[in-house]
Amino acid sequence: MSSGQEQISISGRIIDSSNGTSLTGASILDVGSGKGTTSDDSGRYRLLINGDSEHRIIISYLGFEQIDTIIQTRQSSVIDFYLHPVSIEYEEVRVTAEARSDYVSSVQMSEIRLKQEEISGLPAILGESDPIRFLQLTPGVQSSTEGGIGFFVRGGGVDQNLVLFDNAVIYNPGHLLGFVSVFNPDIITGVSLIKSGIPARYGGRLSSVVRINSELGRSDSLRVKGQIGLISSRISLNRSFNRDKGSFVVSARRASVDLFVKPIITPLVKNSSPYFHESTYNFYDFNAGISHRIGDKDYLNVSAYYGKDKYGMTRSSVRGESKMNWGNAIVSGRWTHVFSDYLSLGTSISYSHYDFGLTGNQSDYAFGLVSSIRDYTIKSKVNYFSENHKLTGGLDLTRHTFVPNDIDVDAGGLALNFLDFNELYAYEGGVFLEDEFRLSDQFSLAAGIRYSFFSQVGPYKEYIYDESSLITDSIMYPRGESLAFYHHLEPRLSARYQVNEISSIKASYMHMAQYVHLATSATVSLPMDTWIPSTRNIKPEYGDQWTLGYFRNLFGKQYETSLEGYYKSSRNQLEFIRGVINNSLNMSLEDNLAVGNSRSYGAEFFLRKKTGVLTGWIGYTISRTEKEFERINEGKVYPAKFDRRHDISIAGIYKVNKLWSFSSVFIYVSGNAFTLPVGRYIIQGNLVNEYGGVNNFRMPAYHRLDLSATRTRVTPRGNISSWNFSIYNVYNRANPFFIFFETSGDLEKYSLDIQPKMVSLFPIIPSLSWRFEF
Amino acid sequence: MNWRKIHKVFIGVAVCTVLASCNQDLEFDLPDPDSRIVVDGWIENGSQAKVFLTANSPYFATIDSASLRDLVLSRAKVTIDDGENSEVLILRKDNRYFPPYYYAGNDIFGESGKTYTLTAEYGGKKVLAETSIPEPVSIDTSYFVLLEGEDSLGYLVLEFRDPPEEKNYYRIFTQRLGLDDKFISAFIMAINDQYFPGGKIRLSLFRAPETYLSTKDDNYFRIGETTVIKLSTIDRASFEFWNSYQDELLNATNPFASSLSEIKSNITGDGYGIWSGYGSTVDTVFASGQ
Repeated sequence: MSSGQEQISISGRIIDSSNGTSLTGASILDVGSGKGTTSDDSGRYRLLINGDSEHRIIISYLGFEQIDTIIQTRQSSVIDFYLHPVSIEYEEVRVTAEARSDYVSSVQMSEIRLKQEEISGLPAILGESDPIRFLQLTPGVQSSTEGGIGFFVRGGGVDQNLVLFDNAVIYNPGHLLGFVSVFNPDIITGVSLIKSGIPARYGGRLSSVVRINSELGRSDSLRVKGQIGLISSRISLNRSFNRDKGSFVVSARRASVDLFVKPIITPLVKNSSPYFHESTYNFYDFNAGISHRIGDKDYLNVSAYYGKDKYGMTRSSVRGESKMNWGNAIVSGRWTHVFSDYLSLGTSISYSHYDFGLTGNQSDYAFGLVSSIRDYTIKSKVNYFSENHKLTGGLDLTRHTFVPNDIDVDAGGLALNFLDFNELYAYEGGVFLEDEFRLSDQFSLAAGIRYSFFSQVGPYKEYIYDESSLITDSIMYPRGESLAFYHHLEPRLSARYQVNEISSIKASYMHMAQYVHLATSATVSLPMDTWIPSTRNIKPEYGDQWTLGYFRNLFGKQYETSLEGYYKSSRNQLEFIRGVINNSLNMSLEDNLAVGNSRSYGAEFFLRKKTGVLTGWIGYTISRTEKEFERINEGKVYPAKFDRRHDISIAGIYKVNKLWSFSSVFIYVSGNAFTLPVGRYIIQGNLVNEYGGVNNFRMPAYHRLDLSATRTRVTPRGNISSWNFSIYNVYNRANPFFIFFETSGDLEKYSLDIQPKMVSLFPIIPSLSWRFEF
Repeated sequence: MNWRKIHKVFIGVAVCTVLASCNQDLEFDLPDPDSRIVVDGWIENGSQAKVFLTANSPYFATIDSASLRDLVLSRAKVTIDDGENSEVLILRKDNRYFPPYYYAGNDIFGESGKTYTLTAEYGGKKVLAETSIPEPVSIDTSYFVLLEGEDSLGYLVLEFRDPPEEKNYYRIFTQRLGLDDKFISAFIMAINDQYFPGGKIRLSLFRAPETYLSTKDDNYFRIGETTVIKLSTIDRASFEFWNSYQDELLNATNPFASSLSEIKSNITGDGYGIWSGYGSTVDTVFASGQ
């Protein structure tokens, strides 16, 4: 604290008045002195002011009405500010020039936040407004498959994204083979994504952090929300209690595919697709959350998620049947204690479990596969504010239990011996310290360091093989004994130079380590993809990223723009040469692994309008991603499958009046790289493909336009009934999903012709859904 | 292994059919591949060598009887050597095979425990390969099993004792007498003994198509048929080839399978393919349904 004039502090929380959630990154400005700060990730702020005068304080956050107030106090005080969303008001907001925008003035770069209203306002595919799917429309983010929620950030893999739901890691955030995310859009406050300059408090993934928090009730009467749609239907209840000290939410969601879609489609495809009417599908999930303030100093949050997908198929033609089910279970609790207005402690414990099961049989073969990952995590974090510093330090520790794949095969009553792929145990943890500090009015830095470690521990049975892959011996490691230990220092640095009131230059560097890996069995993301730990033979992945960007507001603060360039490299990336359950010669996973490096670089342009009757954004990315693996493509550099040169996305919501709003999404992305045979030859009367290099061809470009109209009626008592009519893929573009080769004729009759055919997933799809709230 | 692949295919098909799909034609401008000698040859205990030599062709080239004539390398010099003797093979025509020309041995008969070297030269290109014939493993028993609820369709069961002290690799073939003009590989192209404890192996055999390019038949054997089952031991290089060959046939354009695998040929020089030794034993099953 400075000497001379006596300083006092005001501190508290910045809260969204519509739902009671904390607002991260809201700006708090003392107009007289020009001093300002932003709220942290739990919405808390602390501002030091002179104690001898009155102060004009402006609290602003884009998309919310600004608070402009006079504070007169001679001692430090706690003041919570409630901001009202402007999107409800349907009118332009005037923004005063003094208030700085957090987009330009914050030190954090490469961050995107979407609020729940934006998510529900954009066109839905089959009535599903998915938070992850709309993140895929922002620069630097690509979807793994059309309509799928797996995503790649700046060339990084699907497994390099740390997805946190109420602080707990979600390992597979997908329902319906990845076409719907596990996040029920009615009960979340929004979604945020950080692509670079990731703070030191986060670790364990190389590419990004996605945070999704559940929303809690703020109304003192019971609110019921829900939607009836073609793919899924849902309902949630929330309210506050104990004079707004506590609140809760519960929700349930269920697939409607089997109720609505199947009865309609089955008669139409009966003859052409026997698979369809011989299959069953269902998913459901539940959420519950409660939060309570105890006294003035303690906050308690508990939330839980449970979801399951069930798929079954019988094939009478080959007397086979197959069943798959998978799901996540998550429980997390967080306790925040405020010691003083500049010191607070947050501690959370969480449990996260993902499991996948596949059974099948054909005649007298029976097959079963189980894989799972189970985590217990404890995290603790101390926040300390002073005039020029925002210090955060803490630690986290996770105990992982992996079952990579446990296979049972019974062939005609004879059980086959797949080595018991025993459970693998590991501890992963980190200690971190980060500080965001102001060097001058123009220059701010956020520096952090994370020390991370990973240890695979017993009990574990290791098999010893001879040269011909015959097991000769095994070693048993007792409980707790470390088989492999890795540790790493991960520096992070972000800097911001404020050029003037409306523009800034930011740069960041991060170094990350990743100790768990996703063993993908296919080129698309599927629920059977298995998480495996680093072991003595599987090394951790390491990544670096440098980013430089220019940020500027236009026309007051109506428009935010940015231009960012990045270079990213990672080492020890893994590829599974033959797929994870396709290990026929040797069950040792490591033999099936190729280890290599990848690099990615590009530029992203983003223009976003957050206020007014027209909101939305335009994003453009130009990028390149290359891989180099000793065992793939003869060791030569090859383009990644998702090396897509150009990526344009435009999203807009236009509110015509209180009743009607229209929205639209357009996307254009260069085609995926894929491997095409260049020649073929004959072996044993069959044609065999000859390849000319990995990912040596490009699919046609992907583009699509979606439109949607929403009619929302709000009664004077606040009840909402909203009909949404969406058209997905308006001009019915046949976008490439995959390419296969159709052979016609008969080789033995000396006539054979091969034609490449492209399969598209989604044609034009109109859909209708009804949302309600009362 | 096959039953695992079946599930992968199940899942792939399921994903596609949960969502309505459509497909359309495409055009690609592909470079021509370098020309190579493709070897498909084998030598079996008690028989002479058979070696098919063909050329590779551009991917989209149409195959008809004229272009096929160009694919058969009929003027090659093919030599095998068993370490003591060598012989030059002679071109023969045999309509049971496709393409119907192969180079056949005359003097050298396959013997288990021996190693055979193959050399083929054509148009300035040369390929080399080596294989061995492992000791054959005898079949304990084989029989026909009627499918539940069916009165004539079924499958065959094959039982044999795997020598436990060594690593063994197998191929299995079937030939229905009077119906098939040659041995046809079983659905599982190649197996190894890794998954079978205690040395006893029992396998259910479904009928595989003669070629994956024309699957006219169902996968079953029928009451009244007499089938010869051939169990052949192979060396590790042959196993790796047949295993990866099967992967390629099943997964070549399956987007749900990894596309990074390559066929593991045991041919060196200006070509690829397989030169495989078989240590074979046979057993005959009459499907009586009793």
